[in-house]
Amino acid sequence: MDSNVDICKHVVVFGISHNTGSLGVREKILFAEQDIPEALSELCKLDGVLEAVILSTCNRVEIYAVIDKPDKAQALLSSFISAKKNIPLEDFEKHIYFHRCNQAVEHLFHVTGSLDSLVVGEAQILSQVKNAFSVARENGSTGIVLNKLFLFAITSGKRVRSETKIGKGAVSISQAGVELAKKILGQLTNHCAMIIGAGEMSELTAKHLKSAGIRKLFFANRTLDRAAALSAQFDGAAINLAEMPGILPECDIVISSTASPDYIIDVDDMREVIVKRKNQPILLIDIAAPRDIHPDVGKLYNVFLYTIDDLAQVAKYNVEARTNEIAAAMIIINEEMNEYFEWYNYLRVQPIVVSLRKKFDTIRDKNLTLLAGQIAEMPEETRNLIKNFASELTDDFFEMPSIALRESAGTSDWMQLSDALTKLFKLK
Amino acid sequence: MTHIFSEIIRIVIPVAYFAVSVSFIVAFTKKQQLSSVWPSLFLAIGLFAHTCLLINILIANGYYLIETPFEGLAFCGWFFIVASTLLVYRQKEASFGAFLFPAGFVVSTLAVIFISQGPHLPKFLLSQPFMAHTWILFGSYACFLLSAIISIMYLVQHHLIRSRSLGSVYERLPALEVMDQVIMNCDAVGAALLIIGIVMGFLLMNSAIIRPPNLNIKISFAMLAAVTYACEHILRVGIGWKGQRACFVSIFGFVLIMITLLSGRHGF
Repeated sequence: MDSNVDICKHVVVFGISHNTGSLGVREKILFAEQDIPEALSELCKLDGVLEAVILSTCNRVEIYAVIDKPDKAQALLSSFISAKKNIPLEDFEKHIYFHRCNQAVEHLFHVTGSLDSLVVGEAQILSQVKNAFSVARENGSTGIVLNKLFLFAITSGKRVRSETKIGKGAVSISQAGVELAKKILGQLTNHCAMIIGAGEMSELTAKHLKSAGIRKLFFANRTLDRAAALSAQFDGAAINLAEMPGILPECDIVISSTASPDYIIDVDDMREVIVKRKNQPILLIDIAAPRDIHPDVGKLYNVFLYTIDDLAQVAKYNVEARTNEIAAAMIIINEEMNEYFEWYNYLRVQPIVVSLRKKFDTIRDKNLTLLAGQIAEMPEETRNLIKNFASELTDDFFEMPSIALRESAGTSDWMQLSDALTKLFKLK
Repeated sequence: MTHIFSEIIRIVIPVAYFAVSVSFIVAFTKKQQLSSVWPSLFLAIGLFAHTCLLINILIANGYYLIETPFEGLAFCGWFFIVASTLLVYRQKEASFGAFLFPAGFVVSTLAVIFISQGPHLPKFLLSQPFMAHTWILFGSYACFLLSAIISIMYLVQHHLIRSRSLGSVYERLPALEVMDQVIMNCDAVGAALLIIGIVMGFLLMNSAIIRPPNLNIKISFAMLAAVTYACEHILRVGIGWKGQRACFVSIFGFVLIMITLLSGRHGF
């Protein structure tokens, strides 16, 4: 990639996300991980495309590019997708969003700050952006503009996560259940859990429990096959529902989500369990409808019974709390974006600053050469003093115009000032 | 140690503990773990000054017999702060600090404000075993204070979980099991110290030929508290009296301890 940046080459973003298109549409244009390097090479061969990054996740497919002719960028990228994915343009055209310059930059900062995510504050997007950027960089499809843009955006995303509470609190039912278990039992590494039922919810809960470090997982189901499949997936133990009462006293967390019309655990069962457990606290989460656990079980000593409605309330509270953090996240995003714009603007005046510095250095060196004969007889200390004086004088003369140029980079004066300096000092 | 130095120490202790308390309360309200070095620094300064104060009294008197209630509070406060520090930094839970350090600040401040010379003790009490007896007992009181505060935290968290009020306070308080474990440990250590202290007291009375042993209010309530805490431990281990019930017993035990403390001197 050519590292010389011309200001008319613009940053653009082109894509479809969960906000604009359904999963059906997104699926059609999704890039598999192994296809991205090839797609990037083809993109960069298109007329006017100088740099490109492809971000392809289940919630969004986006192309970030630096394009010579941004007016034609949308048509160019649409045709590219259509040809690459072999789908007619009209199938996805109305779902596309296209932003240029500042809007494109702002969009990326919102994405890395997870403000544009399906669930605000979700953690995955930042690593997905990092991954997309590193693939593009390894394939040589990024240059000075996108490199800097992605570095700023990733830093901004990290700051948003660490300096705000946007990623805090469980926002799904299963995650809320696990968080609650941690608040009752502390670290889960020494605890056992039983998941009754083997549906999608059970799988999701098992995933969260496993990542929370649960010591042992039991999967109880009417048909052992499905329980066995889950236990193989999560390194647990499969049991039949008939075996459940024997295992229950060992478990500190029980999550039930079966389709059974009757209660699976009633008060007498749990009373026996509590006696066997010597009153050790037990968390029961009933996410089934109709309920699997008799509501009176929750009245027993050291038994904490939660239903799907209770957990939904927790998740709702956390979503609201995350939404309240958006304003704090925006402050960070704006700070980082301004720094990026400052850097971007500086690119416009950078060639003049570099030329001016070279000119000043040349003048200094020329004059020192002229003086060389006259100072040759002087002691080394004096000669060094003269050289240092010349260097400091050059630096001082250079400082003012260079600062003025930098400051003008973000304003409309920059061109006038550049022209003036070019003429005054006969810069190339 | 000069008088001026002693006076400076008596100012440094409450100031440092106040700063520690504020830092932990702020961390608790902002739901942060302590990453700043300042609270640890204030704590180190406070503890150092507090230790100097105790040593100063010990050197000045030749013994530290805890003659006045406030001298006792100074030692109890020091022991409490040390135990709280160990707990907070071991558990890495700022929320413990937000509740424990303010209590430590109050106890220590009362002590350094009102510390004074007590009446001269009878000669037979000026002995190292008597000093050990009082130190052990005040150590146990510090353990029970710690346990009572965490029991209150436990009951609040338990209530929030039971009533499904899973809001900001619930988020900030530690896990029930963690608090229960701390309460159990504090009560066990406290009860052991209390029993040793009481046994030592009886031996001292015996050696001073006070027969039959004088069972005044102080001794009676101390014994009642020891029995309460011992029962709590036996019930915990035996039939699993964990959680809420243990907390109530712990708080009741501390009420007995307060009566023991407030009932004044032995009177012999």
